[in-house]
Amino acid sequence: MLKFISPGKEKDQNETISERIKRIAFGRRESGLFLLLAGICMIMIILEPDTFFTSENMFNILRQVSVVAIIAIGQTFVMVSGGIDLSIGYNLGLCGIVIAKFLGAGFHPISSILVGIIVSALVGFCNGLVITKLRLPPFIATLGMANIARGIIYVLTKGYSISIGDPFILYLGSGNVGIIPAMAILMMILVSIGIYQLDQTAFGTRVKAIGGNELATKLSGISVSKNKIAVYTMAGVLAAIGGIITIGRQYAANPGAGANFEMDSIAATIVGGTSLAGGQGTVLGTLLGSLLLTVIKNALILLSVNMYWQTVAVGAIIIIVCTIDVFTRKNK
Amino acid sequence: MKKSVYRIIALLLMLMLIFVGCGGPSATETEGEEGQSQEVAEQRTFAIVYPIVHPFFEPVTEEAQKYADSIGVELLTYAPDKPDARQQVEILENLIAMKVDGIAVVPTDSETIAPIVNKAIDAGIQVIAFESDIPKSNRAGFQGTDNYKAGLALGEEIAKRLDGKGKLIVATGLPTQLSLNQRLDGMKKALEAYPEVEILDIQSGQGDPTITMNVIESMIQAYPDFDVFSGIDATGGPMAVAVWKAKGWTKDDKMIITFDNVPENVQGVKDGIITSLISQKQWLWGEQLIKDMMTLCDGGSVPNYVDTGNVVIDINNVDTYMDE
Repeated sequence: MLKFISPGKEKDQNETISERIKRIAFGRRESGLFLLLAGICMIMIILEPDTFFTSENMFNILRQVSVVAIIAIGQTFVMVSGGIDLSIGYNLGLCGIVIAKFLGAGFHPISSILVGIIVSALVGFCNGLVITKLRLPPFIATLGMANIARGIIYVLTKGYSISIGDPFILYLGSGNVGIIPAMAILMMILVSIGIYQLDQTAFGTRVKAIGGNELATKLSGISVSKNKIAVYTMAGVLAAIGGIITIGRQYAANPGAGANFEMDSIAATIVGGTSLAGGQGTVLGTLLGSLLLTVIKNALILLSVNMYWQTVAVGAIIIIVCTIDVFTRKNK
Repeated sequence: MKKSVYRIIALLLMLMLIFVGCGGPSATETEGEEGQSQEVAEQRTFAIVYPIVHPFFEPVTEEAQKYADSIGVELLTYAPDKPDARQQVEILENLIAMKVDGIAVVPTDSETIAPIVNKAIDAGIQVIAFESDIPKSNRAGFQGTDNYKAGLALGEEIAKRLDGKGKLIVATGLPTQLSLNQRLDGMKKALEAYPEVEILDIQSGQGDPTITMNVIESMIQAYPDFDVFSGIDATGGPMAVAVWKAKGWTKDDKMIITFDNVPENVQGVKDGIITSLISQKQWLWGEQLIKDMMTLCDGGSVPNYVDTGNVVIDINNVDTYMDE
């Protein structure tokens, strides 16, 4: 019987216990991130025993990480394919506004949600089309699309928020399943699908191949254009889901709700180990990257760190984590 | 052939989206009768430049437009799509090139805007500031709220509602925004007279709804025994209302005493979630801005500084505060 051993996982019969622990702990990027996250949590449990490790704060963190993690799944696929999506934040905001407008016009909530998802998917599809057919760099194409989405948001709202009263949307954004926030459960389902899709399916392999060597992938007969369009459309759909949760969480569709999400998703994806050059990355890493950044922001507030220093701290941590990753990869 | 069709479709889609996108309010011309615009083109054209697209400024536009229409003046309104001084400078440069007669501006950053304001004045354009002043410029006049006094009013309102004893958490907006820092300074000064009112923490939501909401949730976690949440910018109140709703709280559980009469805050007062609001009287500004620019264009002068004051809004006057 053939036994498949992943590269880098081969066991050395002569390795010592300490080497083995080191291999398990640091052999994968995700393990290192998990240890870092666990370390920060341990420090916080010691420093803030009454406030950090409480169920309420854990659910706060889950609520705060959910939307970023969901849209970062899309960003991971895009970045693994060698691209970047700067429109993801405003696409999220646009979906929320479209849904609110349709709800306000008396449409059924499900129809409104579907229209919102279709609009965001269309934005993603257009990104893919412009990148593959007009051959614009992803940075430029998605930056342009971000501005278009932002402009449409302001045209539709004049800057005003629109109240959301639909119970289903409010449940998705603010309700619980038992004691666990519904949005966190949705996030875990989507993360699981994302992990499976990127690591276990032919589509995931094609996405990695395109990001690794686009020309070679094309020469091997794979349609690069179709797969790239699919990836950007998928990122659009995930932005839409993030948008639905956001309007449910904020009880309103806020025109500024999508701002900064593109940078948050890119930061989470890079911290999670996805290469900016494409070809490498995991959805699990992205989830851990999102969690790490959210836990740090949460911890800094619980520790009453001055607001001016928090931005410095988050920036420094992104650089430190990525620097450690660069050195670890070099040493390998 | 198939590739060409794809490219044509993609190009058409892009062009369509660009046309739609160009209709955004980052450079929005307010509506007016076409015939009237042509008629007044040789008369006076005034522009109002905001720091960002925000519902707070909508009453200003509405009142200014109403008055401008009544006297046959063309009114243009502009705002950068984010609080970006560079974008605002570009808007002002374009207005100088357009040779408008008057500009009323809310600076995104007073220091950055001052030189371009002076350039506009040198070009013969009448410039007045409102909401936030531009002290280092030669602007003809300023009208708006004294934000330090508004901060004092907030501090007094908090102390009054707490009967001089209690704990406070605060969320502010962009740390670089002068008006917010003045409000914070005023609030702290007022609370110095009440040693038993303790400010537990002040955090920044950066003016971003999602960050503000996360910050509020984390502060509530860090200081569960707080009595009052206070928002210094227009984002704090609406996000606090969302947090309160999610927790099933009302003003009887924990108080929200915050700034600005944006619709979500006013509704929050009516719903019994927000205890009280401190609001600028921005509905007074629009008409006065046009009147001031007309006076200046006619060779007259306007007051160097007009404090339009602030108002405290609670359940008792939420429907009538604009008449007070």
